[in-house]
Amino acid sequence: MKRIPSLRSDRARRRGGRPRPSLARLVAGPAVAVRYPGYADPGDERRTATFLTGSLLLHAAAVAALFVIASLAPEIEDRILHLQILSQAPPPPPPVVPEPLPIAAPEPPPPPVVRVARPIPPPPIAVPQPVARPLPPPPVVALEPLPQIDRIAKREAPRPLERAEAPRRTDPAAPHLAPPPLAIDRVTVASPDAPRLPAAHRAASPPDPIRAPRPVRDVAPAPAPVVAVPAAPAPPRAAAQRPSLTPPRQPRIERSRPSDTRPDLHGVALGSLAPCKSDARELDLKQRTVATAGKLPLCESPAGRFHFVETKNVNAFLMRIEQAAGRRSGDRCSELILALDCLTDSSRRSRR
Amino acid sequence: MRALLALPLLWVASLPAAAAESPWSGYLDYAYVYSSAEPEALRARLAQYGGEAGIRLEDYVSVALGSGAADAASDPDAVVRRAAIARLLLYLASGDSEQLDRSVDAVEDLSGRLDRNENRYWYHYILAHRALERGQRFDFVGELLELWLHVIVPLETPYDTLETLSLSESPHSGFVAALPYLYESLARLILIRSQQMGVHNGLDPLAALVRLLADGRVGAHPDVIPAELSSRAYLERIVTRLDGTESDAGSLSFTLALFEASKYHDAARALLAERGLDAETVKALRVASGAYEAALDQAVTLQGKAAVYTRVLSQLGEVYAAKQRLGVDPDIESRFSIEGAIEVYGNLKESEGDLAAQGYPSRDVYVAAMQRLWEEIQETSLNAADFYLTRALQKPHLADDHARSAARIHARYLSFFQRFATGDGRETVPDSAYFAAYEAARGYGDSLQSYAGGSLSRAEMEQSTHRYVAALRLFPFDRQLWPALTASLERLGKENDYLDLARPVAEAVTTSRAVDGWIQNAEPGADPIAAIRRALSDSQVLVYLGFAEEETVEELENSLAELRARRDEAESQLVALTAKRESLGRRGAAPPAAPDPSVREAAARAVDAVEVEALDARIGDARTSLVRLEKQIAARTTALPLFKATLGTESLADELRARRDHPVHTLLRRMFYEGRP
Repeated sequence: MKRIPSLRSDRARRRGGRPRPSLARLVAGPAVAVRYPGYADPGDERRTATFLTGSLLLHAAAVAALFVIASLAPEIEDRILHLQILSQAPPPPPPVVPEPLPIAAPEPPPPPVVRVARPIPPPPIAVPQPVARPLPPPPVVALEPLPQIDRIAKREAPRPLERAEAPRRTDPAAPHLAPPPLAIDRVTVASPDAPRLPAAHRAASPPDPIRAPRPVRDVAPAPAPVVAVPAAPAPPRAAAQRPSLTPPRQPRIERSRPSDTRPDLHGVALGSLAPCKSDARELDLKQRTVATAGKLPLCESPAGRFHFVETKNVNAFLMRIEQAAGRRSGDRCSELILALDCLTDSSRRSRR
Repeated sequence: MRALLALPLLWVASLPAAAAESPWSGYLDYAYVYSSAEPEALRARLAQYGGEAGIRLEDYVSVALGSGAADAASDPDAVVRRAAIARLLLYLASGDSEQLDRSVDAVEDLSGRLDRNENRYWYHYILAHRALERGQRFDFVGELLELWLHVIVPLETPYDTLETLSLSESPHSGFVAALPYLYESLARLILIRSQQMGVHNGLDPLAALVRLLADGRVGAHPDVIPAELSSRAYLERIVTRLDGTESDAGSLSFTLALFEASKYHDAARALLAERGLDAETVKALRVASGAYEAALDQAVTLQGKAAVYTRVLSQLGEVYAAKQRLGVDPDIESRFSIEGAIEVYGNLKESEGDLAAQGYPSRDVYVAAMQRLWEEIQETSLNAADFYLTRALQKPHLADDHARSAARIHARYLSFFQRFATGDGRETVPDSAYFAAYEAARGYGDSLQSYAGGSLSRAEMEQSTHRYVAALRLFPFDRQLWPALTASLERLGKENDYLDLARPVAEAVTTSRAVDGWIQNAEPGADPIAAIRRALSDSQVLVYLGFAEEETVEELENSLAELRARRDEAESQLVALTAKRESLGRRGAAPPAAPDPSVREAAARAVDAVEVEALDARIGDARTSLVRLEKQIAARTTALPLFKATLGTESLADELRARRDHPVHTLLRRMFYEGRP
């Protein structure tokens, strides 16, 4: 059977080890003191006398203190109300009506004395001097006046035109076995002018038909297809398994041309070209083109004809390009730069 | 006949032999290079390889990669993997979902052997394609995250090591060397393929992968994948938008949706430039508008909504301008309106205290987005009003309605301007907003005064007059606006009020420190501004500005000689009268009240006095006339050149209209707040 420890035992256990003073030790105190040399016990009688004397003195002092306090207490004046007990007079004889005695009214209490701090009178108000009233604001016609002027950030001058960023080579020393490709959107084919690569590298060259994303094409004639060369080789695995690179050459597509255009030009809308790398850059170039073109509908240069279809503002800007034959179609930024160059040259010529 | 029957048998019998020695196995092992190509390019690629191998892929996968092929092969994993890849390629080239199902069936046989990176890559890649095909966006995201964690990440360190040692092209580098292609394929799968397959929602968890791919991974190996063939530029545009003003708190789904919508917009814009508003263009515009609606539905924060409105307002402006230019008015319904954009702007303004909750990472991004939205609102408003005014001219019987429509659009912009440009937090108002407010104020007056016909109420006439004055306060350098004000006052019969209205405007210009500093520093446009300021500093030129026409300047100059002749004539007349007056001698005493008729001398003296009085009156008239002529000559010799100098300053307004970033916009902003309490 398991023994349940009692609370008492716990307490006792908790007490264990802690030294506590014993009553016997206190009683034995004087006996202990006797053991010291030079110490004499004063005796019980003297202690009793001392105790009695001290008690008397203490009580006397307390009574004296009470008297002193009582003498200092304020006198309480009893307010005595003088009441007059009315006694009913004996009934008068019937023919004479006795006059009623006047009833004494109670004495009203004295009015309380209230000390009210008088307000300090304010200093005399100086007579305001006449001041010049501000002129009324100018008549507000449509716009409310404003309290302040905003700090205007100084606009930055247009930055010089960016060039396309060269891709970072991870290893500059690595041999570049294939010439750079000429286009993105076409199936990669070997360039006839490209030197034939060594068999190992040629076999290892991966087919690369990966298309870069382009915007949705419109029906406008697109630039002539260009031939792309294969990308750099991938690591070969086995010579027998390497794909050879002889994909079919893309046929050149004949495109319809507007009747009012030169035969060596082909048209394309700016919106159908690949977007710029940066939206902000494209917006900036459009802004500059709108500002430079003004009401000029057309600008012609060796790069082609630039039709400024709508130049009211950037919001509605539309442009169409008739690119010169043999010129690669760039993205929107490159075409806008060409248009700006054309406009600048045109304005220079007109100044001369 | 037998020979003819034997030929197909021989061809069928030769297939296994061709398959056994086919280079297709190599092509399929390298399929990570070209598997992300567009279907058309992929079909051409597979046809080319089929020609080289002497057997089409469809036949090869049936003959050489059948169910029993793996059992007989020394490397059964490779056979199973190639079968799965081949089926995937056929699916990607043709869109046949049955091929995808068979690819999944094949690749699931590898589920127990995913410790090999190549197996695991194709396993997740194929399952991701199946998730796209079924529209299971969560599965798609899950497969790609698995692919990244268990294939890409383990390959990165070995690839870096091999690349550092120039061994990444070593024949023994194995699947590690495929890493740049894996990056490329993954980026295309997330950014392009998912959108083509219509998975527009739930892609936000992949935003982290997109950022990682853009961070020195895609396009970072030009020796392996040339930059021209890489999707790096596309990826960078997406990441830029994720972090830029046209984001929705970094949501990839929204960014891709808006990017797709802008592609449709570009297509419609190209058609608009080439064909005008024909049926195909209208259809493309509707498609683009629908795409923008889809993007708006994707937007969770106000930042996303503002980004959509910023783009779609441009489309609205293009359509209004095209309608005006081409004189047509096709019905192009759209959910979007200028009012909606203003509402979004207002909501954003009210939420300015907690920009992070609205998706903006910083106040600079917020301010740039708000200014861009404002600019689109103002230009779309002006384009729309121009269209209605053009319609008013084209259809005189509807001129009243169209002119009032234009006036309402202008009034709406002015209300928008007054609400936000005159309150606190004006930094979200672009500099060009003040000139646009001038155009709207003047456009309001012009709409009613010049286009609405003669049915204006007096209140409308007074309102348009007030708008003209407001326009002059905003842009006092429009010389043609001053006579418009006098014409408006004339219709009200209040021509006398012209100087009362014009003088405060002129004084604001002549006392402006901003204008003075602009001229002193020879800032852009300082010359025409100085010419106008000089003109406004002379009250006579102010009157010329209000009442003189440009055509009358020459006439006024010609009349100067005539005035001088008249002055000479008046002078000579005055001299003659004065001489005659002198000949009559000194004027005597006043005649008596009752002259004595008997005294002749007194009577004669009374007659002389009357003549002298008449002479004095004529001399006075001649002197007055001479003074008036002197004044006229002085006015024309001093004020006319000042007025003439203001001619030709109209180009400043054209420049400001064409350029949002013209420096004079800054001056107008300063002038607007100058001197106001």
